[in-house]
Amino acid sequence: MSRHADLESILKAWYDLEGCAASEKDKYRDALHHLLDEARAGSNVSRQDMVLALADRYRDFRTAKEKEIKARLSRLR
Amino acid sequence: MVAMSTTAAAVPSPWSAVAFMVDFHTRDKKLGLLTQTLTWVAAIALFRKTETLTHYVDEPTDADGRDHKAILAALIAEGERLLARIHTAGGLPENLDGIKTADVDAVIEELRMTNLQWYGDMTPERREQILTELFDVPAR
Repeated sequence: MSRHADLESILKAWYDLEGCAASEKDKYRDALHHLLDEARAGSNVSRQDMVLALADRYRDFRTAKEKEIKARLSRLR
Repeated sequence: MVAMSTTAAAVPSPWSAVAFMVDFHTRDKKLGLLTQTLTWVAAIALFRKTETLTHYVDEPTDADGRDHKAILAALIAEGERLLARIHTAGGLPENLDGIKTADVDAVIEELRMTNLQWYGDMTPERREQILTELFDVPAR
């Protein structure tokens, strides 16, 4: 998988964690941790640093998702 | 108590309902541990819906930003308090929703990530360095 694909997978896993049922939070957190740890392997970057570095990109990712959902709902009405 | 912004035109803030839920469940100590936990989880679901409207579908106003930050901090603090009580009680009772102690811990981490996302601090140089090193992409 390309490094850009890794980035997209992390953003999607973060989004999925926020949106999943409460009873699945632990499972989705593990999935996100796995992706973050794979991406930072061999570096001195912490998970917290990764979240800070990805903050703007995550905002863009979720904005696009939410607007997509809103547009889909509008078409149904 | 969670501070809420008000406007001169007395238009209710979209954050009022979330603030009510957070305050209600933290003040009412008669509720059992499981009920308090489920109410906290429900407050977070409402928090996310409100956040979607104010911070993603629309541009957040200054008041939205203040309310978002204050309520997020209150939810994290309440989650920490609940988690400590859950550990003291030897775990969360079995429940139909299937929520376990580890899920509560994960929700707190998720909220902390949101706090970092919106209110964390990192220099543009460091951000660029991490994104280039790990993903080979620019900061934006």
